[in-house]
Amino acid sequence: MSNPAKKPLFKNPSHILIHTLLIIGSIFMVFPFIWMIMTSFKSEDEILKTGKTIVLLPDLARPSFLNGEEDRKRIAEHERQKALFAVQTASGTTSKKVQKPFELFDNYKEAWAAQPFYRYFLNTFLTAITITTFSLIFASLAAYAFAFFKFPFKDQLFMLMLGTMMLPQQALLIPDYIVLSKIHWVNTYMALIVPWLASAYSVFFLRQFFMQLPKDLFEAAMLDGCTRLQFYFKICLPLSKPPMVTLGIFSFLGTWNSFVWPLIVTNDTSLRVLQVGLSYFASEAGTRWGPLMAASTFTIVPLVIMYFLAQRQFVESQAMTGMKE
Amino acid sequence: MRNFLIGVLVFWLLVIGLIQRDSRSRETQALSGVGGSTKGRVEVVFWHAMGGPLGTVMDDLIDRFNKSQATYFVRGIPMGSYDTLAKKLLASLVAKSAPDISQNYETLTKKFIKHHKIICLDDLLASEPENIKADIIPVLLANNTFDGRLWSFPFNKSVPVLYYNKELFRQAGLDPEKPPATLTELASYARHITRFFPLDKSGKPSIMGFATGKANVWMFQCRVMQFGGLLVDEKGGKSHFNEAPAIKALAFIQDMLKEGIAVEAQGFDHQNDFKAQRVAMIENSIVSKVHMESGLKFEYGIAPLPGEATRAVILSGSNINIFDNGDPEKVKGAWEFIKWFTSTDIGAEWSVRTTYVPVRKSSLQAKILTDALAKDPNLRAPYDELEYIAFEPRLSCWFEVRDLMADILERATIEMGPPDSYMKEMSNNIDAILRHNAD
Repeated sequence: MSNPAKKPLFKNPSHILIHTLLIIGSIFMVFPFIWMIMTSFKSEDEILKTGKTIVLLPDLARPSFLNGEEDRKRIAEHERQKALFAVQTASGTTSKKVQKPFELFDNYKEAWAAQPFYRYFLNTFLTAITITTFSLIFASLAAYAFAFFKFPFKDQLFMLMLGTMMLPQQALLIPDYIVLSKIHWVNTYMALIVPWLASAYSVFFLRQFFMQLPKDLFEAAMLDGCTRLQFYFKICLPLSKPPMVTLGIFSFLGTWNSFVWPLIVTNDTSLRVLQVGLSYFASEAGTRWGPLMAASTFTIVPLVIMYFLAQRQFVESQAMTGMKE
Repeated sequence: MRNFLIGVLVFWLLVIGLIQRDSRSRETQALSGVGGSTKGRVEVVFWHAMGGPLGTVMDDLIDRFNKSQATYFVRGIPMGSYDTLAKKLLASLVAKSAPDISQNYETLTKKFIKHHKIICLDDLLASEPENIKADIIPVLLANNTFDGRLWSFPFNKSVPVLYYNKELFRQAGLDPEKPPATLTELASYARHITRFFPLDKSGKPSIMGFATGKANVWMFQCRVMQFGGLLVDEKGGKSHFNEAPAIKALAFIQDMLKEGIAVEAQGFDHQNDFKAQRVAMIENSIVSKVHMESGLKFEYGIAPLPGEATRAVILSGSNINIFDNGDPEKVKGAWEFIKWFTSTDIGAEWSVRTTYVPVRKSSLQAKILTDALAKDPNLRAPYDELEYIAFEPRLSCWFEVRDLMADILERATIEMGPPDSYMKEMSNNIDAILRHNAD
């Protein structure tokens, strides 16, 4: 803003409006995440006491001039606890009344220790990467066939496949479990991964994209002696990076966030995934907000990193398609 | 793009490697550690829905059972919520891969009996030298008895209680050792407290007298019974919600809300408001004590729920079933575990550590329980309530009925219409469900 730019910031005044709307929108989107991260650094006391007003920064990280009367009271109480605890540890006595005062990373420590999150991370990565990769391969091959080839019952097959999208996941839960149980896959990685390798939605999505590619391209390639698989690898795939990346992100996110399915088809802790671990903090008699928010925060960190990595690919591939036109 | 794909592949291989390493270290840990070796033992698989601090207590007890003998090994598997547990149970029964034992609600037990999926416990009890049945707390026994036979064992049964802030009571000039005993008293205490404390800056009461959960079917049913009413008779399939006690029960909460001396909270929010000293009294499950305790920085009391025409509370929580998987050894192991878990001393310990009601009468006299009571009088309320505990109708369609009740209760306190019209609607709709699902 202080930068003396030669060009005006907005070429078109309507951009100001658009940008304002976008900024407001992004604040709405980002706020829950900020709230989650901030809550993860708060003691339980603080989380509950600040329920009436929105206090973003945790006590331990807030400049004192931002504090209201209620905050000052709470912080003084915390300081008092800290002093009492210091005296107690120095003298070596223990009393039930003086608890260890809250420290900034306490929620993270508690959350990480409560469940084997290390293993959950590994399992989630394994399922998410495998499902994303293979479902993209399978979906693009199927979509390729539906878009370019002529074969008997093509439309009927396609409709049948779309039909599977009409059935809600909840209705399929029990039958799917029974099938897996019959082939002895319950409580294996197979159960977590295999049922998700094919997705009707991805096939549909990619088919629509492939249909937009000029038919002439296909015919010309065939005339030049290109095989069908060559066309798929050399022309189709390079051209369809944007939809592939989009689908990849969807499928990765979907797997990362899936909860009921992994819970139902696994029994061992060593096979469980992150979302199942998160559910541990909500129990019959209430929710442990601090550790839950801490666990949620470290759960989404890899997701955010992955998203930025993929986003670069996304932008890059869009630029490329632009050149081809 | 190629580099990205290679990166993904390398990462994928790395993850697989790390998983294998982790599995190996887990195996060695399992061999050296908890509960001893499982080799040569009969494994009993136990599905449950206990998470958080309650789950920790249960894992500890399971571990001790495994160490206490060398014939059986109980493997506890947490399934998250009761809802997912029930779904998975139904699926596993169809797929013939059911666990050996599981936590379960009474509503499903009936279904299991009908389809011959569970073992009747009478035969197992008959082979015991001790007369266990005579020692089970009568209401819990009745709750698990179907057509005169015991089909499931009470396991983690909880009751609702009244939590109150003794410090706020004292400040407002109320006797902290005299919690309200009737609903009328509850309302007048709530009125007194709400008016006693000054308004906050926005002109609202800074401290509310009383709070409960929104559309809380459990508490509503308790109140119906406290006003002397009945719920649904298990045989005839007719509900009693279009009668004076139910109408009074709804009017009671509507009036308090209208007067502004009580609030309704979403989910467990009233628990948090109580912790933050924004509410002086709340009604909730006794199990919440385990959960709230860590955050309570003030002196508080737990009392039995107030009565009105009569004292009454409704039982919640689940039972345990033994599934008939065709292996008598597993059934034996399952029975040994249940017997051990609910025995006089272990049952008393479970009760003290989780606040669930013990299964056996003798547990109430166990030293661990009497010692704990002497130390923490707040543990007493559920034991005092034992005399007049009731339970909900054990109908297969009961969850559907409960959903319907929740909908109508929620509407009733938002719209604040005349209570008898809501009760008439509730009664008619429930009767329709009952007629449709006559079991």
